[in-house]
Amino acid sequence: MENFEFISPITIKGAVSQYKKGANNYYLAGGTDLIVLMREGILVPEKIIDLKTAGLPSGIKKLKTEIRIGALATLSEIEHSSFIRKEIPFLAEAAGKLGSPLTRNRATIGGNLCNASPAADTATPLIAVGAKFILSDGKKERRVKAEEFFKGVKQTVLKKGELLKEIVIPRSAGKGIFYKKSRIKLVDLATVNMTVYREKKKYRIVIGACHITPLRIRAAEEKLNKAKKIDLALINETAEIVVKTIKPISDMRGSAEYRKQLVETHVARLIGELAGVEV
Amino acid sequence: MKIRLKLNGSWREFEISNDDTLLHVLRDELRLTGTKRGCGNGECGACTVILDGETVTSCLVLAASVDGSSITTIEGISPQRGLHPIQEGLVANGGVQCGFCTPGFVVSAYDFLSKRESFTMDELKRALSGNLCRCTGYKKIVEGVVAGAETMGKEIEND
Amino acid sequence: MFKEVNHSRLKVDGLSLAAGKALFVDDMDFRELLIVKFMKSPHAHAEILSIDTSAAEAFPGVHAVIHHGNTPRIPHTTAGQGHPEPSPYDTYMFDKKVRYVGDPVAAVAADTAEIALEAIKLIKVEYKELEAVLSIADASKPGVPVIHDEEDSFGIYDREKNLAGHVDVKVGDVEKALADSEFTVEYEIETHYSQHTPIEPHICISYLEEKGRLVIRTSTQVPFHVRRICAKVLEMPEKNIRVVKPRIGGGFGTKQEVYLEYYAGMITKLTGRPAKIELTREEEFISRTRHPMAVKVKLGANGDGMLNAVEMDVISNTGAYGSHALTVMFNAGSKCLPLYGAKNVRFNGSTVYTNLPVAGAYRGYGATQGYACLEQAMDILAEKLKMCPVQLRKINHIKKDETSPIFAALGEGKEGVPQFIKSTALSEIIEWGEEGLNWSDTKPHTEKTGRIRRGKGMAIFMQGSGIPLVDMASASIKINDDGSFNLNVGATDLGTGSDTVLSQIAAEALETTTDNIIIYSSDTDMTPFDVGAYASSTTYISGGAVKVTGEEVLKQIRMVAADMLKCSREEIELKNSIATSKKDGKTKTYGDIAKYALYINNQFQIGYIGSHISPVSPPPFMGVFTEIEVDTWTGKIEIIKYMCGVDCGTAINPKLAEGQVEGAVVNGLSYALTEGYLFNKKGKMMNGSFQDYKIYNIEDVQGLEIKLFSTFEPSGPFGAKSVSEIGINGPIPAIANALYNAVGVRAVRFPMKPEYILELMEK
Repeated sequence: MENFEFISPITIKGAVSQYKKGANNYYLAGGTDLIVLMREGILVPEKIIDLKTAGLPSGIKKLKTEIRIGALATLSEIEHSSFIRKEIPFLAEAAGKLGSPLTRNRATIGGNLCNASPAADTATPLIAVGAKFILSDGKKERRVKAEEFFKGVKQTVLKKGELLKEIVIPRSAGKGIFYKKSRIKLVDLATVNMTVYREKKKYRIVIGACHITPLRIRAAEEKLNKAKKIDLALINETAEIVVKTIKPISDMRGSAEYRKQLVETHVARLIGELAGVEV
Repeated sequence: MKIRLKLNGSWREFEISNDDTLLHVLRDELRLTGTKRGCGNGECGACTVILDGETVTSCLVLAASVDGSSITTIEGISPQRGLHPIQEGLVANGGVQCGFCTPGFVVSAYDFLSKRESFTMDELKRALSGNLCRCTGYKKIVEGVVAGAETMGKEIEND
Repeated sequence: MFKEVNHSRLKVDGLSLAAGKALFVDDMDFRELLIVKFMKSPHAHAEILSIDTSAAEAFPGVHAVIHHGNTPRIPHTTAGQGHPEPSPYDTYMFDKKVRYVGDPVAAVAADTAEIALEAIKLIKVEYKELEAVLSIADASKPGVPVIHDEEDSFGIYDREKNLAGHVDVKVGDVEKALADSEFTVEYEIETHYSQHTPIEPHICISYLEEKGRLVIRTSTQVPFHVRRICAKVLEMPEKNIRVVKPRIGGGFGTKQEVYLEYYAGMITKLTGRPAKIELTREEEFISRTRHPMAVKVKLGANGDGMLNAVEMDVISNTGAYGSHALTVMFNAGSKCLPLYGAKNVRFNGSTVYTNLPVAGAYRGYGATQGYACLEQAMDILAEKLKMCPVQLRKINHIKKDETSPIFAALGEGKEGVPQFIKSTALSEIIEWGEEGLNWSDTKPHTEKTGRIRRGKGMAIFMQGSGIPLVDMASASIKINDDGSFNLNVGATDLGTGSDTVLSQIAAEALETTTDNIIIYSSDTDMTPFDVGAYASSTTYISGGAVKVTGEEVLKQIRMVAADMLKCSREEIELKNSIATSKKDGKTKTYGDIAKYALYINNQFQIGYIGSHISPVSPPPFMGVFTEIEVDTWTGKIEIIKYMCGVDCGTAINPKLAEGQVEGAVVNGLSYALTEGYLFNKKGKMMNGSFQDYKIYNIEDVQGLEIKLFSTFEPSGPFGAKSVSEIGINGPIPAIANALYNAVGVRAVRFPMKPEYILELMEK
């Protein structure tokens, strides 16, 4: 690693103003991705700005109509939170399937999201459940929908210096299922991941690792939402729409073709499970 | 820069460089060599330590970011003389072959067992899934940790 | 029957390893330590037109920069085998040509790793890119570039054809026998690149001791070969080099390679300072690998199922350099073909160079690749014969007191030695597996339906125990005042537990207990010679040396005891560190005897250095029975049960022996199902990390049932044979056979990833 300036700001405002002072400054949350990139020389930061001291929220809060997860909450906290496990179990599952327990103890949900990997495990459940992200530039805050947050591989709507501060999840009676396929049982990046969510007979389908961003498949959702009755044929048609919409790449975790096969099989299975149809 | 760490129970102050990882400080500067370097990318678990009550791969922690933290390494778990029950269990059950991954497994198992009175085998395996071993095939590591857990009076539930 | 061997004594180094106190290479302090980093070739095949290191040399903190222009050019092999090595001498410390992506171009020694890496960026190299050979299929095509066109390399079979080695051995008339057979099978597969991934990557530290001799502290399986090869490459007499192997973090064959130590030695020679080389995980992946092989098997049998003919054709890919090129290929034949008693056998093997990462020794050593094809072919034959595959093996496998002409025909890069099987539990193992897996209930794949389909598969195997008439080991034992013994062995414990096993053998031979043995191993100054840890030799060959040494020392103890107890030697009974005179029942402890010999009368040091070689290499045997589930929607294979029975003769330490099998099996499962290299079009390995190259973790292991079957091998120490390698051969063929039984497709490429299984099923 090349040497850099290490800064421990005490406010979000301070963090942002430090960040804006150069072109090559990076925020440090858990660091589990950042340090690998620095070690490999892919990133050569001038300043590392530690967010832990900057007053960015870290816990999980249960409010009357919403759940708030601080950007610095670790994946382990989310995985093991009895409250998340009860109310948004598919998010707890997604968090618990990211990397190894050693990574999850350090890695934060904010880091996972802001890295904006198409395969980010926590992205599909948050998009599916209709989460909003509170972004802060140290002065003003704004809210964006989770599904609008991602713009491309490693690209988000965050403006220079802007931070993901908190994740807001509406409390609802919906049910969701997360699925992740990797090469070994666990401790691997996703070949594909996905969340299918159902609330008041309305479905949301979000697929990860098959496009430049996690992708919500609205056409497929509509197919289900408009149907009077959901049967096997409709589920299969829906799965076909999903497969036609995604644009996966081939890499060491699987070919594009294989990713499509996985998505088709599992999206149908997940919809079936939520709709009570044997697939 | 200077940082303070509560290292294996006692507060100490160190001079570090901004780009030092915690692994580098522990292993290469303080020569606590029980913590091993196997990949440098947080993927093998040989460098596992307990940081403020949670196991982490110390190769992915910037030392500068843990000022004021409490850290337990394998040296803090091994008693002055003899072995911790987990270590005894591993040795008695053939869970140690080359031993390079062993400190990491011991730290992970120690953290897991010290936080609960009972556990399932699935939970145990999940807790150890960040530690790679190429010698044993893992079976005897599981048996060893279970033996240690029994000595510690922990209960094993059915999955 | 035994008092010390065949008991699971605690590992002698277990306490310090578990406590994290044991000292590995990097766990000792060296003042003024230099860190050495390599500049590596970005090209798969290129000529170096010029190299300018002046800026790097001038960089503050840099102490030496070495490259082909300022180091000796000595052709050698890195294979770490006995002298004279059967591998071609086609490697140089640095060459004017680079032959794979990652080939060292220069090395920089600096105060810190960061400085060394910075300085490497300042080295200017002008390359002339050459066409690269990137597959087995391309290697010998007419007109392809010659990878080893340098004049001074030697031992290459046919450099124009990129052939590092070749053999064609015939017994009987295979062609005629195949033509005459009622049933024939021809089956071809290609196995894949993989890496040993010891959790401790290759590492060594060299320094000068007070008399100016070079000491190399290294993570090696072969300390004596390290000394010999470094002496050659560094142009130093062996007497000026000492090699020490401390605790090492696994090897599995990759640390049989001697290719880092001389760079460190060179730096120390030039600077006088200690120098450390530690590979990163990414570098480890392109250090040494397993030889990928194209294997074709032809079988011929009559209606009764008796094999008439077996033919195996192998083309092995050794990568850019011929490390173990000839011998791994030979072993595909020599470790597989004797398993079945056909009279007509042919083995035709070639090893080709490519511009890909260098292959080397890897647990299984060619047998893994050979069995991947042979044991699938046997199942195909059984199906043609409408015979149960278990039955086909039962009637054909080699049995006690039988021999195979292959033993004499194929050895270690040359002819082998004839031998008869004197111990085998293969028949019992097969029955155990048959019963445990309810084999009689096995249904053909045609009767299976539904998304999840189960399948059963089996396969049988043999390996060897050391290289007969080649591998030599020795041991020295001396008694101490208190009746304890120092056991010094050249043998190398790379985590296998050989220090423990050898201590137990010494204790058994010396009629004492294992805790009275103080073992010290693998130090070329302090311990007698041993070829090192490879070819499944340590328990059998080094154990044999310890046993004869122990027996000689025991004779001396008996002699002194007789003198003390005033009776004849025959009247002395030795047991549990006590000598008893049968004449009058008087006793002397080993402590008494030692003190008497050291201080009292006719003083001398009770002690001996003994050596051992073996005229034979008795095979351990193994049967694998597995049941799997195949998800026909995703192609995923799940192991339900993996039964693995191994006959290793007397297990000197059953727990450690089981551990060897378990480790090998899980490594093999991971190799069969997930591990594999991904190359880009220019021959660069693209997945050199544990994130991208997946090995099994603790959650991936399920359904394992390992059982040791005890036999007594008369040529082995207390009946022992080898155990460490054989387990890795099982997963590919056994799972491939189960896959066929589940869904009716045959895997010819590996690993058997879900994606590939789906592809096969769609065809």
